[in-house]
Amino acid sequence: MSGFRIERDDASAPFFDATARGVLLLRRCPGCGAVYAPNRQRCRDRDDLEWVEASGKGVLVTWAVDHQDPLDPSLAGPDGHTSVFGFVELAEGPWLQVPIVDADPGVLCAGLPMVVRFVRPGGGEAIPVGAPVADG
Amino acid sequence: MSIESTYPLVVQTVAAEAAVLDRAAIAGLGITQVGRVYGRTAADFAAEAVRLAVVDAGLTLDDVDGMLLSNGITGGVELRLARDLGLRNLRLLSNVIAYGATATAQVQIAAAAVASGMASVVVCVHADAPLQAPGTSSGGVYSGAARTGAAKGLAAMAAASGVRSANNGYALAARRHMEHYGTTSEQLGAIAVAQRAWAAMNPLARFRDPITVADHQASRWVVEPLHLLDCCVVSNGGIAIVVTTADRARDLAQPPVYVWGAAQCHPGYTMARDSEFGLTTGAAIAGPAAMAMAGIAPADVDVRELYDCYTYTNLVTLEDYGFCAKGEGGALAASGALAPGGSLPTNTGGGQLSAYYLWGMTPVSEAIIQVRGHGGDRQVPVHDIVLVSGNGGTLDHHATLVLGSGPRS
Repeated sequence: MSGFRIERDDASAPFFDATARGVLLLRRCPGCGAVYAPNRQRCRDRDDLEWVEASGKGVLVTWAVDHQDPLDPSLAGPDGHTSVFGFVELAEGPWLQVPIVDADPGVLCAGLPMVVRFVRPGGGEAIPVGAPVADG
Repeated sequence: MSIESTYPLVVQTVAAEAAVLDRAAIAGLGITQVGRVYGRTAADFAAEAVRLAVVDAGLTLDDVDGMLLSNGITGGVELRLARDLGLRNLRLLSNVIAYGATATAQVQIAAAAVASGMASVVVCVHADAPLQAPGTSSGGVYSGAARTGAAKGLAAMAAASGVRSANNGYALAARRHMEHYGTTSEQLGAIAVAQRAWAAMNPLARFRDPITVADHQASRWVVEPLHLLDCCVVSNGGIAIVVTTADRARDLAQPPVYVWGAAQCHPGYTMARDSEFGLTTGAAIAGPAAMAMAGIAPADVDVRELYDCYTYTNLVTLEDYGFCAKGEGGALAASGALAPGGSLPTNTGGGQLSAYYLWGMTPVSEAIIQVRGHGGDRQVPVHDIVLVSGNGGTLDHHATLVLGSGPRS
């Protein structure tokens, strides 16, 4: 399970340039203004989606706990041998599927305020992860 | 646009049109050995299933003038199967792909083809051979993501974010339903228990020993909230179905299974604010539309054969088809209504959870068996109207069939 790392390709280079700076980019249609998750390739009428910075804030929609070995220790849940992942509904609207870190699955619930952070599995490109907003 | 707001328009449209699909009927069913059957390719299974289905119908391969093919994950069921089987001058030949909704869609397309006169005897076949040798991890063959090494771009990021197998997407859907409606793991377990009780009476079923909700709770986590006993089996095998005109089917070897209604819905979830993913599926449109075409309501359905890649899939489909109020599928399952002797017999062969997993052919094949009255120990006494679902992707594709033991009046 060691050795997993993410490398950029041409299409993802702007995205990973931003994650390296701790910034999450989304896709926005210059025609209709709709904002999409980063992997969206086109809008109804046009293909030239532009990158736009996200606030990095959202709420948890749903989550699950995968009992396969984590792909990388940076993606492991609190017990070290499972991984938690879910959909975070970003303030901008799109759902982002992310690893969920720094959370006991027992505290997760729909609507939980979340913040996007970044990890580098295997020392490769930085990717967004979701973490509960620390209370108080 | 929400599924709920779209639904009345769709149903009105369907109801306003004269149904023609009842000119079609299912006349043949062929099922190869299914399960842990090794050393044969998907094409081997497909060829055998076609031969079995044609013989079952009382026809020969020379009567076939159309074929619709479906691959599972291993591939190999190709158009050349027609030539290999010596089929000449076919009037319809295609691969069909809507993942788990494919089999239901194949029968729909075949019925439309024979009802319109485009073809007269259409064989629909699906085969797969994902289990290649004893000891192969059955679930592992469905894991697509790289487990080690470098991976590229946003697709690799998705794998790191939990997009590692079909289990993961359905776990997210099930959890959302549980959070929103209070559905519990024990209620999902009641579906596994009911279907195992049906499977005990099905000679083709992979697992036939009774289980309890406690067994379900004690089975290992695959992806929480899904236990092992929430997940379908993985099977090798092939199933084929012969569709012809109702007039012709009446003179053939088996009791005709009439096609009363058919509909599809591909919701195109936005996966953004207000998305209904996990809560409501394409069944909420396709189900009522197919029943409207058939001229029936949920209360008229005698038997349900519902796609059950996971217990949750069965539960959400029961809700969307209107067998209980939205959000009450868990209570319905826990009531025992779905089990042998219950008021809503469902997945009477054990389904994909306990019997065999050949995509949508699992529910379609059991529906044919039940309509014909060939269910043996598991035969439901009243079996005049059977509702069938197919579901593909992660709830992305839905297809519904209403089948009847007699002509639609």
